[in-house]
Amino acid sequence: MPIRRTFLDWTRPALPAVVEYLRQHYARRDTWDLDQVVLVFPGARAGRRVLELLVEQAAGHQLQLRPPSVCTVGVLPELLYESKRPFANDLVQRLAWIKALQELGPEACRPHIHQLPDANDHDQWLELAALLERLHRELAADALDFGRVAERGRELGGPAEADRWQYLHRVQERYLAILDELELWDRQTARLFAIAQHECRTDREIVLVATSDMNLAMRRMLDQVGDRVTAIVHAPAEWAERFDAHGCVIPDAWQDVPIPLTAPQLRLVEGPAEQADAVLDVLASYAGRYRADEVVIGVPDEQLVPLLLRRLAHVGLAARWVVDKTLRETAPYRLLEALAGVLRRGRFADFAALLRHPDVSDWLAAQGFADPWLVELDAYYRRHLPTRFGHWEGDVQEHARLREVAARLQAVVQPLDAPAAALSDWAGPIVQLLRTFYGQRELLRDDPDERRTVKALSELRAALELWQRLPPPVAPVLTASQAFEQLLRDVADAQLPAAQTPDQIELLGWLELPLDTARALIVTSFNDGCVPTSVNADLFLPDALRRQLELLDNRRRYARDAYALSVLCAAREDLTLVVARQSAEHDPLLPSRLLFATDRQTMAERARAFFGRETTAVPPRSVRHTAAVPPQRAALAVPRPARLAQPLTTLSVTAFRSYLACPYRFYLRHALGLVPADDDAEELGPDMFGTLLHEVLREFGTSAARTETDAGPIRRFLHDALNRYVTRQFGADHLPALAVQVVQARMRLDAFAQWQAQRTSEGWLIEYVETSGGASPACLPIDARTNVTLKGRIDRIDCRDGQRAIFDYKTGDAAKSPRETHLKAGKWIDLQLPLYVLLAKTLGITEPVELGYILLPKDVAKVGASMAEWTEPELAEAIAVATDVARRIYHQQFWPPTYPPPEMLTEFSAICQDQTFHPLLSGEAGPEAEA
Amino acid sequence: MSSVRHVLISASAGTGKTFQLSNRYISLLARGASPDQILATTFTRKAAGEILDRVVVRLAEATLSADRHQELIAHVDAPCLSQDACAQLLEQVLRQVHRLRISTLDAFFAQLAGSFSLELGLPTPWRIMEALQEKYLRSEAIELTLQENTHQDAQRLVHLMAKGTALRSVSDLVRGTVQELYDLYLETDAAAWQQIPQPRLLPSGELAELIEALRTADLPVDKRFENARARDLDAAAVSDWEAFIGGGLAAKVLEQESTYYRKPIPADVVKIYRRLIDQAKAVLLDQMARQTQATYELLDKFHALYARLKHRARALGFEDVTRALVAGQRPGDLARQHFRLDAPIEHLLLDEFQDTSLPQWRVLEPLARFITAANSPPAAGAHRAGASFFCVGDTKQAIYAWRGGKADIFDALPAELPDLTQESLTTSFRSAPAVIETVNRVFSQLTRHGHLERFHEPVAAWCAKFPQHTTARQGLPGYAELWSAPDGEAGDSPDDVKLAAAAGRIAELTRSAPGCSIGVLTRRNAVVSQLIYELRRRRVPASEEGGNPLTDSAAVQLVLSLLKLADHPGDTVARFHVARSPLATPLAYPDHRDDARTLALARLVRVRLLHDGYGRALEQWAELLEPNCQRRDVSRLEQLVDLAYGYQPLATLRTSDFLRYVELERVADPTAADVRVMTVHQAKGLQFDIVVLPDLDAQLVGQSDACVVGQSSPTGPIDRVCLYRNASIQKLLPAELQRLFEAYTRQSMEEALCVLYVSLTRAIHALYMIVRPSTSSERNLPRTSAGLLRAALTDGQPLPGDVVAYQHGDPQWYAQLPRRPPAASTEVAVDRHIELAPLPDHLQLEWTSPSQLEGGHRIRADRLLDLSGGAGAARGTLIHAWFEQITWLDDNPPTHNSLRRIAHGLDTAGLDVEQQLAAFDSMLQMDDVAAVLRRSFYQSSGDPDLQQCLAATCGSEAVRAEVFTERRFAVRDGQHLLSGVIDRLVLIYRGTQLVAADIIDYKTDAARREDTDRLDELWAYYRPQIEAYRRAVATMFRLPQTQIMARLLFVTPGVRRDVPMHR
Ligand code: SF4
Repeated sequence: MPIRRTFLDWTRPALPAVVEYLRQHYARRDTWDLDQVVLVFPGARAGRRVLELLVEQAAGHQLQLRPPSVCTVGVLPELLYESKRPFANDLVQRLAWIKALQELGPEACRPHIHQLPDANDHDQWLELAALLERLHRELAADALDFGRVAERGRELGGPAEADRWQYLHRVQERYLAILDELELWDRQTARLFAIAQHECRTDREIVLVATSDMNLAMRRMLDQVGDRVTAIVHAPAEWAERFDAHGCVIPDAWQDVPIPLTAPQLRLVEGPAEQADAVLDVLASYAGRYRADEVVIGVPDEQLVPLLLRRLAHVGLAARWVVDKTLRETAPYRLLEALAGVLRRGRFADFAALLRHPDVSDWLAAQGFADPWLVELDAYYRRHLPTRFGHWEGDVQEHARLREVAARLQAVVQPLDAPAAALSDWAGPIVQLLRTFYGQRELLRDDPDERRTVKALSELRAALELWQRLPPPVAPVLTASQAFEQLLRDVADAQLPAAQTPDQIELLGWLELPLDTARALIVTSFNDGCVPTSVNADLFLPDALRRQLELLDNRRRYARDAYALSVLCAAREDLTLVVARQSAEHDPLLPSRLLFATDRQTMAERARAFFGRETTAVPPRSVRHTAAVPPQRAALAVPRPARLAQPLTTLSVTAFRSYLACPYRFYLRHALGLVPADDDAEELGPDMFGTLLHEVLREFGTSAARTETDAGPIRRFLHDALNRYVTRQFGADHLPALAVQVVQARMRLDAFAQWQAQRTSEGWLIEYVETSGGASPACLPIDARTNVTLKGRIDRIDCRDGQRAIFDYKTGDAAKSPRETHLKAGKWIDLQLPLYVLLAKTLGITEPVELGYILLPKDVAKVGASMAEWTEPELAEAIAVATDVARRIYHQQFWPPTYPPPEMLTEFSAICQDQTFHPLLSGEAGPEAEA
Repeated sequence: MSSVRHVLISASAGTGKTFQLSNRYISLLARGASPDQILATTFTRKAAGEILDRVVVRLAEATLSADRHQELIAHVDAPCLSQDACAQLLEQVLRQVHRLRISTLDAFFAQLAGSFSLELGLPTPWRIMEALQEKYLRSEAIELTLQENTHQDAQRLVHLMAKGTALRSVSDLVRGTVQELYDLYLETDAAAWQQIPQPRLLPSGELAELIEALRTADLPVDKRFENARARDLDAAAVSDWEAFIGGGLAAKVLEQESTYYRKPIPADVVKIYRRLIDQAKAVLLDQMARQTQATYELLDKFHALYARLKHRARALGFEDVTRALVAGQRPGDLARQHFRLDAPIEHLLLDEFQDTSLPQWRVLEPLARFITAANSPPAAGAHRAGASFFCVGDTKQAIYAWRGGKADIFDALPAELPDLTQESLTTSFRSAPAVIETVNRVFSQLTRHGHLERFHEPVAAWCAKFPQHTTARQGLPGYAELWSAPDGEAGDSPDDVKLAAAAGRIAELTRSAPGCSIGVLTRRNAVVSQLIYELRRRRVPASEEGGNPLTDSAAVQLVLSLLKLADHPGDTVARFHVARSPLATPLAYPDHRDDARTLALARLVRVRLLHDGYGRALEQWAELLEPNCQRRDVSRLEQLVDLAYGYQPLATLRTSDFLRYVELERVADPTAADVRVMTVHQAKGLQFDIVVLPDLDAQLVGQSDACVVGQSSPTGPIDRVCLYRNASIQKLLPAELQRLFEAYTRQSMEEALCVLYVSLTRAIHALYMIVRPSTSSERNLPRTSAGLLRAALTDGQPLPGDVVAYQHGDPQWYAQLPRRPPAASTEVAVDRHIELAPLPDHLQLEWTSPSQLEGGHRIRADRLLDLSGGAGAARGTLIHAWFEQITWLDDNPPTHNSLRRIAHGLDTAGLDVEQQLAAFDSMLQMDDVAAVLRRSFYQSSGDPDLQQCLAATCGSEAVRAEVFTERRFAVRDGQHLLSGVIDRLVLIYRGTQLVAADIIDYKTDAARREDTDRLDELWAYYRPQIEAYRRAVATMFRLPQTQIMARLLFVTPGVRRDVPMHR
């Protein structure tokens, strides 16, 4: 017996009409027994909504309701036949595909697959399997297998394509055989089998509600139980010929259906922001006519959801999208992801990330590690540049706490540091890991963060349970980090539903809209590719082949959406379609083809309006708050220095350069001692590279080798000292670039050795190394009673027959002379060397001295001394400048900052607003106030 | 359909390429081509969009207006196209928008590669890499490159690449090398890097003899000869052969000169020098060869690692896609391509062809050949009558060589493809006569520059090819000038002075020509930021093309400091920044020295980022900040929040990753400016009312590329690579290598002229060229763009400061423009009030299923993480399904066979069904379980709960029990819609009167009978669920809750636990 079709007028929403229909047919006296009814919907939401309506109606009519079974088309088949064997779950299916591919081997796949994934590239195997699985499902849904396509493929793509499908067919056969060996069933194949054997049965009443697009397998199954099936079609009875016997749209009948959209229903806008604006505009235009639950926003492009939710929230409207988050965004997932990184690469950076997970730091805190070990971690990295976590260099005290933190973590990760094992065996250790971090927690469902954690942990547990039950023949042997990857893949896209309250405006996907009951509807992203979607080119099934095989093709997609849009036009009091010109990435978008299903005049006008940008008024990009911002409002300003409790009375000789560059930045650096922190160095920075060379040269300066006149022993000493330092500071485990940098440093030292030998043979001897002067400090006078003490360390003082030379080692790449460094356009910008003269005086060196740099630049030919050769008056001027600077510092003259910003002290660029449109100093009016 | 000519059009700037393309497109449609058979490609997505816009709008207008229809057919190669036919074509295009192939070349290739991923060995699925991802993957590959080498290898490589210097930053060096040369690496094979000949080196003994011979050779008695020899000997002694040949006697001998300071160099000395020079050549060539080889090795290692990382991340660059397509090419591909692309491509329309790279052409070539081949067999399923090829380009605008663009292909096409008709377009539809005439003057008179030396010939050749331009916009007011910036103070950098002057000039222009768009075009990136800075100092709103990173807002910087603090609580700079900001109060963080509060704040920030996501979290902080922000900062903050939402899918546990992301992403300032500053390369395809060129003084051929390359033909592969060396070393090279350098010089010069051409032709009305004044030491015109312009446009004499050295047109040109309204504020008030109708009470129900209530509101996480059941869930489902079969145990219990059949339909992986069956049997043996499954239980009223219930009812009829298994329900429960399934529901009647109900819920938890603690815990855990059932049953059957019993049946230990009514 054929399926009964019932047409429900589409001028009112479908679901209330369906409920009415059910009441008329099934309510008896005071009971409404739908126990034997199966209501079938295209999507899950309509099922929930209908249940609500049933409960309401039952209450309204004083009926005792026995609710029906409610399901989606996707799960209906299993209600219609009895399976002979358990079904393989998704994971087993996927692993069986992998096994099938592997068994057929690398030779068989060529040239269809360039290369099978590496044996250890489990991830790629899974992707390949997923690809075949999808293909298998899609074809089976329309009652096809790969072999059948191979036969048909010849008609289209020539012998090469047919060969390919032959190969796929072999893989598919192998796949089914593998499941067979496991005594499991492939769900798709089971359905086809049931169809072929005429095994579909049901003793319930099946009511299809607006299932306007069902695949062939489904339709065949329904045919076998036709006498128990009613298809409710949401369309006027006059349109009956546009639907087939199952109540599905007939593609050809919908290609030219005109869609009665009017100009006011269309909004052409630029990009996502303007789409959101348009939605707000339309909502405002409703002027209170609808309640929140009577308005729905259709979102065919989910990317728009976050923006819409935000913009609605800004104007005080609550809105809801069904998915709150995916599991990928939850804390436990992130924790596992970080752990996977640690297991896979084990780099320092992986630990550094893991340790920043709040659940890890909380766990550590719970064990008494609440102290600032994160600060220590950064500091340790900056000193020692380790590549891995767990080797320790330097003083024990310096990292005692870190070692303990590391030990705790290692202990947790330890059980996973095991050889590859069957996937099933990893479930236990992984769950144990989760228990370590979360097990002791009490989670509150009322707290949104914790509710997500509850859901995430449950999903993870469920996924791991599946592992435990894997049939051994398909369970892959994986390393711990591969197992983590598998787990993360298994759960990543699981969705956490958003909480629901009655005052929310719902955002719904396109497919949910026809069965929704709201009175007013705004559909966003009414663009081609969203409505309707289309597939043209494809890896397996280009549109022409789809059409040939009667699979879901572009025409069917168009028909489905033309029908849906017709329903929306008919059944909504208010309908607005928003069409965008650009995606969030500024890619041009195309309008939906459905907009042009109209008369030619309208078509041409719409086309001109959409594609002819200059002819339409493009609404300006709105900026949410700015219009409301009073122009006089104060802007963020660079904070003024606070008065120091004690004036600075000790100054390092190098600090003068900072003050001369910028008094304010000097204040930040030297008065407040602000320093940035990071842990992203990839190699020795200029400072550390300098320290490296300085350390080696300091050691040399106090060694016996310093008197050598032959470069050989000097070089040997320097090499040894360098190696000692590197071993002490960085150990064996350090960043790869560092090894090369050490060699670069050695080249500079080699050149230095040459120069040094020469210098010694000229009679110069190293007298002092790294001296900070004599017992009484060097000073600069502030006033009659006050002095500022100079601090500094002279790298070295050489001496020959009472004649002395003061040197600073310079290790920058460039070879800049003292003059270039100290003076710019005739003005002193640095005072280091002149101030050394004062420091030297405290050593009793009073006679005129030479001043200079020993350069160790990248061009090793330039290694050697570069003397300052300043005149006495020049030096006197420098000291005068220094004295002035010292006074200004003493009197706390730190304001204002210097602009344009100096090239040094760039770490304060954010505070000083260096990159800003117009830096604003505290006390100034903002630029906009002036404008 | 009659066949269409294959055309190649040279289209000068502003001559309407898009218009030509759309003409062609419409003509093809008119001749019956289906839109999906026409592939039209260009280089930017915007340009692709414009082509389609033009096609659609012209057809739409022709449909709507007779005049427009006439206009259309005047330009389209289909004179008899009726208005009605236009409408039909329009409909055809619109109904097929999903099948159009108007795209960038990259997008087309990506689609093609996507359709052949498996055959091409691409990962599945793959995506095009994001900029940030690319950066990370590259860094990681570089790190691995260094790591994978033994130290010695790495040292050797670095040493060779650093040309022997001991520079500090190894990462920079490697990154720089990769940055500059990786694309070249991809285009070449190993052999190309091994083409440097390696002459024989002298054995060391022989060399020592030679040096000795030089030391002792007789020289003319002249201190200068002696000094020169000493210098040369020193250089030779330390093997500094570069210094050796760089000056003195060696240089003279090398130059084939026979005298030094007018004195003859003795013949035997010359001989010695010749041999030493040979040695120098050999050594230097050897070095070059080894350095080139070392560079290749490094790139090769990097490539292997990088490719692996990309594969793993399933991310590809566009160049990977192109390369994969080239590598995967097989004969006979076209038919399969057409099949998988779902339509044969019969018509090619290629835009901006001069920018096509060699690999890109390799992919297109078979298609182009197929289309242009007269007698080729038809494509599968297609008729070949009217295939056509159309290509537009302009070799004068070939400025993308650095990106692989290869203008030579354009020139070579006529020879490569048959029957190509060449056309050229030289009439501008853009620029005013003053501009066009200036352009003509420049490019016809460049050779007046008398000191171009090796550049002369390429300049002359370029000019010879230059076609005189005309303009269709004769009436347009216009002006062009060449102005020298004022002289600066001594010590000032002339460039700084010039840029400051240029900024002043631009400021003036914004005042005198309000509403006009101003394009400030530079050659160098650094100049862009400097100019922006200068303009902002003058309060001239100027935007950088493509936008600036959001870090140009103080408010954004502050939020970023907060994030920095979260990652690095030890960062006192960030701490101070936050503590001294308006965020201090709402975040309760007043003192940057407070360690404890810092750590708490850092944790809070990380927690919010993790749980709320970057978007939501940043939004909340931005809101705290907004009351202290002016408009611009507010809008920048908003953009930051947008960016943060977009970043969320990439989010990591490190905020530093986000900070890098923000620094990389350019976001256009919403307070859009009329003045846009950009490099010439970014200005390609744009036009401005006014163009200002302030960066004309850089050397024409600036910083040299790292390599020069050679190829046997313009469209042939690169077959030799040689690291770049300076002029003195170039002289030592064998002729074939010298030719590479010459060719390189020529190409660089040509490109410099292209850049100049593109800059000049962007202007609609006015062109301001700003150059440095001559220095006092200037003898000749400099070899710069400024020098060329001065040669062409002025008398070529030294140029004092602040002088207009050339002007053409009307300096007051803007006075003739209609007064434009000042740029409308781009902001609109969106402070909407949106009103909704009020909600009634009890409106929408919140859904609850009782199982969600398990555990109540407080859950111990280890309970969620209990794997102990192993196949717990599956076992639970199975046991439930079996219990469902039991109505009354005293009737007819289910047979084993029927139970087995039920098991078949379930996922029982990991379960031994027979074993479970036995277990099920024993469950049914257990008293607690069996009792409630029997009728007698309800009839005997031995159960105290039941007794109590019955006692509360009156009547004396016999008690009758009715059982429902798996009873579905849906009821309203306050604000909730409670729906679910009750395992077993027993309704108890007295006569016909329903007097009580009993709810039984099976639980399959593993627990031992004696373990009462565990059972208590489970009981408490499930209790909320059972209470919900009770409420549901009460509503359904209108029974008081006191009349409803409920029990948990722990079937594994066989324990029954009643759930008494909460009273
Ligand atoms: S002063 Fe004389 S004795 Fe002292 S170190 Fe110098 S050279 Fe030697």
